Order: sequence, then C-alpha cells, then structure tokens
Amino acid sequence: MSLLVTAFDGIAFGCLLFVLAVGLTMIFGLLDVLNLAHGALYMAGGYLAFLVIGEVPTSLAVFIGVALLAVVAGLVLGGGLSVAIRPLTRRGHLDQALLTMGLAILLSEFLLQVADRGFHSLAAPRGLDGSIAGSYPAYRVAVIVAGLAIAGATFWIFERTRAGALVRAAVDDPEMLAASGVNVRRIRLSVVLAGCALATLAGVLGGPLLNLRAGLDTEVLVLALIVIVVGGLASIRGAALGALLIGQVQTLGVALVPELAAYLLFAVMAAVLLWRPAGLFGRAT
Amino acid sequence: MRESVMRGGDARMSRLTRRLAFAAALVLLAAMPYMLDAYRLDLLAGGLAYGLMAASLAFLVGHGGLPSLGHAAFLGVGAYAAGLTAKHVTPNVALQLLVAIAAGVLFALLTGWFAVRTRGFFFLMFTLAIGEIAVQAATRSTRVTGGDNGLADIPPTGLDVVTFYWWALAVVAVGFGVLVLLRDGPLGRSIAGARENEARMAALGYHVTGVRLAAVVIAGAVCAAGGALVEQKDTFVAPTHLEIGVSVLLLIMVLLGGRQTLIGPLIAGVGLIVLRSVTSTALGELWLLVEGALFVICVYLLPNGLLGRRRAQAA
Amino acid sequence: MLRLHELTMRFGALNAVDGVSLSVGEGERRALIGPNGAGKSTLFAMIAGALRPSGGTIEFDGQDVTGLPEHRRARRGIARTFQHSSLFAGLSCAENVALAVRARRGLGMRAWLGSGRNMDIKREVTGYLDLMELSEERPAGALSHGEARRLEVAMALAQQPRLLLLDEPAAGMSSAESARFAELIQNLDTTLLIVEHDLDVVFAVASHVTVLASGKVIADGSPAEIKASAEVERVYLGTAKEIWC
Repeated sequence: MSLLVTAFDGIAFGCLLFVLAVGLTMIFGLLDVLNLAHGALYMAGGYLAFLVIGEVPTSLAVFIGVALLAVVAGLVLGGGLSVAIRPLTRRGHLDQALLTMGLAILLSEFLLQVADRGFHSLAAPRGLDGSIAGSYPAYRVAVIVAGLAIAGATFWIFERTRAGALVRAAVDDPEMLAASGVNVRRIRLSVVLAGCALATLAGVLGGPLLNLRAGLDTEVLVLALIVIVVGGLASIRGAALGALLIGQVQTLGVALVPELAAYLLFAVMAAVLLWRPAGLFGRAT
Repeated sequence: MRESVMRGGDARMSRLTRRLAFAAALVLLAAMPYMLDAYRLDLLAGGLAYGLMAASLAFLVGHGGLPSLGHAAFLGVGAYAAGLTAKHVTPNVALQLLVAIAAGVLFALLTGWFAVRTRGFFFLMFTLAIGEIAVQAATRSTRVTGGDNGLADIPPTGLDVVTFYWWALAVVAVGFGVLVLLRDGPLGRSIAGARENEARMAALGYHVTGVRLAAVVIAGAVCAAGGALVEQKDTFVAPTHLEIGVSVLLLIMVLLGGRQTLIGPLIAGVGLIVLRSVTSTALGELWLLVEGALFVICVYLLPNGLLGRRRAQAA
Repeated sequence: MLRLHELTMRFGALNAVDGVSLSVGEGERRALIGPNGAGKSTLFAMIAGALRPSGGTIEFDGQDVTGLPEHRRARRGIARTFQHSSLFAGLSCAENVALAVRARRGLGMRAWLGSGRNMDIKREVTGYLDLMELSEERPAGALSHGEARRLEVAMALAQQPRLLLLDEPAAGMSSAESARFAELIQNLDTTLLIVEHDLDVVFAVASHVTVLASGKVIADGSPAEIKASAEVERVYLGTAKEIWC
C-alpha cells in the first residue's frame, strides 16, 4: 500500500518534471539551443513566490495569482534569454549552451542573494493543504491535475492548432517554412517565451514539493535533461514518457533502494543511451 | 614533427625555449617558500592543484574536443579516494596519490565508456548529469563519505606547509609534464585526429571510441591527482568540492587561459584561485556572481568559441 | 581477394544497392562506373565497413568480414578515399599522413615513441607528400580542391593497403592533373577498386570494368568490351552526356 502511495508521488513528480522538460525539449528542437538556464528559471519561479507570499499558506486565488506572476516573469526572462543568445547564433550551438550555463549561475546566485541561502518551502494553498482519501496530500493530486492539464493543452496546441502545425513545421524544415513566407523567427521567439514561462510556472507548482535552496537549479536541470535524454530530443511524447519514468525512479527507486538511488538515474540514462542512442522517441540523426 | 601550425601559442617559441621557460618557472616556484609566508604558500599550493585540474580539462575540451560539464566529479573522486586512504590505510601522501589516480582511472573508464559514445549535446548533458550524480552519491552515501558534512577526521599529512608546498609543486609539475608529453605523442595526435574527423580515423584503422576514451582517462587521472592535493592540503573533502560550480570554475580557467594550450589554463587556474582568495573578504558569497559574470564574458569574447578550435585560421 | 555476394542496402523503400555480386582478384584494377545514384558510393561504404549492409555478405581474403567494424577492416588492409575530401582540417598535411602511417604500424595508441622511430615515420610521411607534391606544414583545411584530393590519396597510400578503394579521386582535377594521376595509379601494385566519372581515367587505369545502374550490375567486362557495349552506351554514357552537357 505504501509503495502505491510512493508510486503516486512519482506520478506527481513526473508531472512536474514534464512541465519543466517540455519547454527545454521544444527550445532545443526549434533553436538547437540547449537551455542550461532552465533549472535557474524553475528556481526563479519558486523564489519569486517565496518572496511574494513567504512560507505561510495563502488562499488558492493568491496562489494562482502568484503562479501567473511567475509566468509573466518567465516571459520576461525568456525574452532576455533570446536577446542574449542572438549574438552567438553563428558561433555554434555548444557556445550557446555554455552561455546559458553562465546566465544560469548569474540568475540563481542573484536569487540567493536577494533571498538567502537557507532552506525554504512554499506552503500549499488553503483548500489544497489537507489530504484526501484518508491520508494522501491533496496538493500532490492538484499537481497531477495541473500537470495533466498542461500536457493535454500542449498536445492539443501541437496536434490540433495552426500555431502548433507551424511549430512542427519549423522543427522539421525551417528553410522551407521561411521560404513559404512564414516568420520563423517569431515562431522561435514564441517557443522560447512559452518554454521559459512553463519553467517558472513549474517552480511555483513545485515550491511545496521541493525545498528552495542553493543547488536546486542544477538538480532540477539535470533531472529535466535526463528526461529528454531518455525521451529523445525535441519530442513532446518522449518528454512525457521520460518524465513519468524519471519521476518513478526518483520516488519509487529512492524508497526501494535508498543507497543506490543516485546510481539508478545514471543506470537508466546509460541503458537508454546504449539501447537507443537518440532516446526512446528521438529521431536518429 | 613540428607542430607550429596547430599549437599556436605554445609553438611560437621553439621547443628548447619552451623547455627553458618551463625549467625557469619551476625553479622560481620552488624558491617561493623563501619569499612567501605560510598563508600565501598554502594558497599557492591550492592554486597549483586547481591549475593542474584546469590543464587536464583543457586536454579534454581543447585537445580532445570533448566539452565536459562535469569535470569536478574527478576532483571529487580523487579527493575522496585520497581522504579515505589517509583515514583507513596509510598516512603516506604518495600512496594516497596513487590510490586517487587509480580511482580516477576507474571512474573515467566507468563513466567514459558511456560518455564517449555520445556526441555534441548528448555529451554535454551526459557529463553534466554525471557531475550531479556524483554529488548526490557523495551526499547520500553517508556511511562512507560523511554525507553533507564531508569526510571529517582525516589525519593530517604530517608535512609542514613548506614541505607540502614542494610536494604539491612536484605533483603538479610531473602531472603537467605528463599531459604535455602525452598530447605531443602518438596517442595525443590520435586524440586530435578523433577531434577533427572521426570518420577518417575509423577508415585509417583507429578505434575511435577507444581513442576518445583514452582522452577521458588521461584527463580524469590527472584531475584526480589534483583532487588528492586539494584534500591533502586541507585534510577535508565535502560534496561542495564537486558541485557544478566547481566544474564551471575549471571551465572558466580553461576559457581564460585559452583552450588551445595547456599552460594557459594552468596559469589561469593559479591566478583565479589566488584572486578568489584575495577578494573573499570583500566579496564573500558574491564571488559566485563574479564567477557567473566571468563565464558569460568569456563565452561572449572568445573569437572561436569553445569548440571553434582553429578552423577559422586554417581555412 | 574481394567477393561480394548478393550485397544489398535499403534506405526505406529505396534499394540503393540491390543484390550486387562481384569478385575482384588479387592485383586486379577494377573500375566501377554508372550514373549518379547508381549506388557506387554506398557500395564502397559497405565494403569499407562504414555502412552495415541490409543483406548479403562481403568476403575479404577468403574470410567473411560483413560484421567486422570499419577500423578492423582497415587493419586487415582495406583503405579508402572519400568522394568528398575527408581530411583533418586543423592539422598539417604531414600530420594527416602521419596519422595514417602510425595507424598502419600499430603505433597510434602508443603514449610515446623514441626519436628513432619518429624520424622513421617522418621520412615515410615526407615520401608520400613528395609523391603527391604536397608541402608538409600547410593545414589540410587551407588546401585547394586539387591538393585536398591528392592528400586524400596520399593518406590512403600511406596505409599501404592490400585493397585500395578510390571514390572519384579525379573529381575536380584538371585534365592534365588527372592524366598524371592515372599514370601514378597504374604504377601501384595493389588491388584497386575505383569509382570514377572521368572515363579517360577509367579506361587508362582499369583492367576490368563493372557497370552499375539503380543498384544492380548491368554489365561487366574488359574496358574494350564495355566501350563497345550498346547497353552501357544507353544507360550510362548516354545519360552521362545529358548530365554533363
């Protein structure tokens, strides 16, 4: 029974990871930029909420308001990011990745200076701070619901709308799309903005689950990276599957073999890379 | 074979001049105990250790074309291996060093075996993940490593500051010399070949994965030696020693010193460690902000980019 | 020496190479011709080991090498040049050739060599560079097209292969250059498999010609027979004119 609860925790964690990883994988697919600042963006969302509402429970409305504020912050930071990497476009993708790494350090250190280096956690909003079905925390169910809603919306946008079709086309063949008169730059910018906004949103969502602290940015970044290594770059389906898998490894794995938990992640990643070097849903290049 | 085309900075001087300069620098460094007080000497020993690790990263990134974001993991492996040996086996610093190098080689084989099968972004991500997993492993294996609190109660080396400085200088000089000799030897040339053109290397009969793995093992072993020095200097090691920030610090040294050379990153390493210490009272925790800013500036200002090598010049 | 049996390579629905069987004897100089897209380069890549065939077998020296990785085949004595020059752009010409020489001598993974052996290698490298009229110090990335083609060949020769695969070595050479080049190849005493569009080079060099079209062998014979063949005229020499004129 307790394992079942842990597995459910894993789903909640997986949903959180998906919200983070889907932006990372799409930015990569569209711009060929590996955004190593994604973890710092997550952290920015969390710390923003902490600075605004502190560690006390608030009403659901305030919590949602803070989440929307984080989305706005994500859009602004995403805009800054795309401006910052533009001069390096000709320089090669690895340099861009390294630049985002530097920006990540700046952003996360800035946050730690503004707040402090201690441990903090957001409280679940009132109404979701209890438990349901006897003992399961209601907030985790809410994270699962939110995660599924975001996943559903992402799939719907990509598969059903014209905007999504344009983004898919831009991933497959940007030259062709540009030749047919579409402003590919604008599509790219929208994807960066959306991806960064999702990351900061994930930071607020995850606030009550993961402690805010120094090093959080790398920790979630690495988890998101492993998610997309496992799922395959530039694949939303892969990000979803990878997130659920890594969510389980991080919860069920820790519960079952606490001593080996750290190596488990490595083992999963190594196994996938050996078995399918481009990830489960990746396209071989 | 003369390498004037490739080696840029290093090769503007002839081989003889370079050897003389190296010997002169070594003599000057060996005489430091007569010029510096104990505090500064200790600082310099630490700087040299980081310089050696930066040079090993330059070997991997610049010479091997393998951009690792998790090099501090090797520092950690070397430091923990040396510390555990000191605690449980022997106070002999040389034996501790050998154990650390062996651990570095082992860790390089284990992780590198997978890492060198990846390319580009995957290599970047994989090494970053290895670095973070190493931190997690050091934090969680509380019984062996002492967890977050670090490996405490390591018996002191028994060397006074001056003797330890000479020991550290000897290790760094030998480690650096080995890196240079290996770079210029047949294996080093093969590593450069694998960086330039994998398909051709395979067609010539090279096992490219093996060549790339050799680069990781060499860099890992030398870095682990530097890690052992870091532990021996302070008789302390904690998970913070191998955090991503340290990998980034090593990368900054490489970028500042110039990834085409090995000596540049070594000098930048010593300089940066000294600078960090000198400004620590003024800056405190702000140092990390400075580090991030330095990193960003380095990436912007580098003409060829981290992997640009000398293509622009060659073409 | 080389025997291909029903060798096939499928890319999706396309059969780039479709059941090719042929054998090349010791010391033979075999030319492979055919229109663009006939599957010649794909066939080469499979023989060298860069591509795994979808079906069929490759025998070298009486041994099945179909599953052998590329570098192991190179060590058994198969060398190739690339259709599009594939050099070590950042390294000097001398170093490009030296990598080939050291690989052949099994010294590529040595940490260190004595100066005696280094001099040996250097002498050998200079020999190949002189043969191809290349200077030592220039980086391969700075070579002209013709020089890059010659460096390609110099590296393959430095491997002292038992079977040499030349993929359009004369592409982009002037007619004077390619004539000199043909002469050079005629003096080699290695088994040769050459893909070439320049039919002057082909008929000057080859002792035997195989014609490939749409992944299949459509003709096979001495240069004289191929020249005379109406079928070849139709599918290859005819289309060749359309393509080039």
